[in-house]
Amino acid sequence: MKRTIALCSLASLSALVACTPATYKDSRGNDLVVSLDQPNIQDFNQAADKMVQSMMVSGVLERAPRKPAVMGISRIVNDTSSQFDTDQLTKKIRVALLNTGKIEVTNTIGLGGAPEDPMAKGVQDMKDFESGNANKAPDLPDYTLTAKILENRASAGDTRQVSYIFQMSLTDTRSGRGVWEGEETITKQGQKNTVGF
Amino acid sequence: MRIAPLILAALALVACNTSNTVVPGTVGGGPGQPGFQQVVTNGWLNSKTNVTDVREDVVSGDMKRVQVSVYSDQLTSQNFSYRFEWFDASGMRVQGAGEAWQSRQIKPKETIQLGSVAPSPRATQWQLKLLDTNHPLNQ
Repeated sequence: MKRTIALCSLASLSALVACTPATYKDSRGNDLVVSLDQPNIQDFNQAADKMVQSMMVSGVLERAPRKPAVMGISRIVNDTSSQFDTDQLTKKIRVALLNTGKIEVTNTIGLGGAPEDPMAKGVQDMKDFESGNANKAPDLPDYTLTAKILENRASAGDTRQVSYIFQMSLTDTRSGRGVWEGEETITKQGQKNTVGF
Repeated sequence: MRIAPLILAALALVACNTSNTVVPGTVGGGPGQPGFQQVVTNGWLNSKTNVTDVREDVVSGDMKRVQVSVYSDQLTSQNFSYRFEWFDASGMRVQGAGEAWQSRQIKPKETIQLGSVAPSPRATQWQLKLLDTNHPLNQ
């Protein structure tokens, strides 16, 4: 009888331990899920942080033709096997760059002539028309930003390894030359997805 | 009864898994070397991330940059995570857009550098938080 009770208690305890209820986590914390089959939120955080710091250390924005300089977002390519919105990377970079006060992002000039914010573009055009400046030259960006995210996979036995390579370039639109380039590689290794570092 | 000491030892190790903090000191060692203070609550972590040097400079005109050297006194490779946190002159937190805990490996008897650039010219103060990710219980 005692043995039965002990076994039942052990089984109940095991069931309690096995079922972890969903909880909120700090999105910048160190106990998030680490996946081997897709980039995680912490990968984008780390890549964005390193890229912006690299750009600041380079001092490229100190040589900008005006301050704050104006930047346009050009082609951002996801060349990995995972489907995700590249804004997970670019938005963090835009926010970080805006916080430095050294750069502003144009929302009325976009890749392929499509403005990111059509309403802002419409209002800008209307204001220019009303003030008689309908034919004025648009406020062109001083820099454009391009990025590519690549994936590299390897395995040895049961151990899998995936690297996500974040590449980014800043081009001076006066010369058409790249004035800053950054690359950040994030590598994860293991046999299965896990929680935390 | 025989497992009681083991449980107590395990609990003691769990209790020790806390973070260490590094802040700039009040007495500097020269230009660009502000000195530092370590708040050590985890001796095991400190043995593999002992701060030996702190340097500061300014990049991109007005953005503070900090570099912290940490030394491992361990005989095996160790992992840890860290995060720089930035504050303005009033002590209010200035959060970087991509700021997150980062993981690093340190080899036996190695010194490595951890660095960060302020997220804004307003961010003039910093602190470094270190956390163990290779605790004996997590092996």
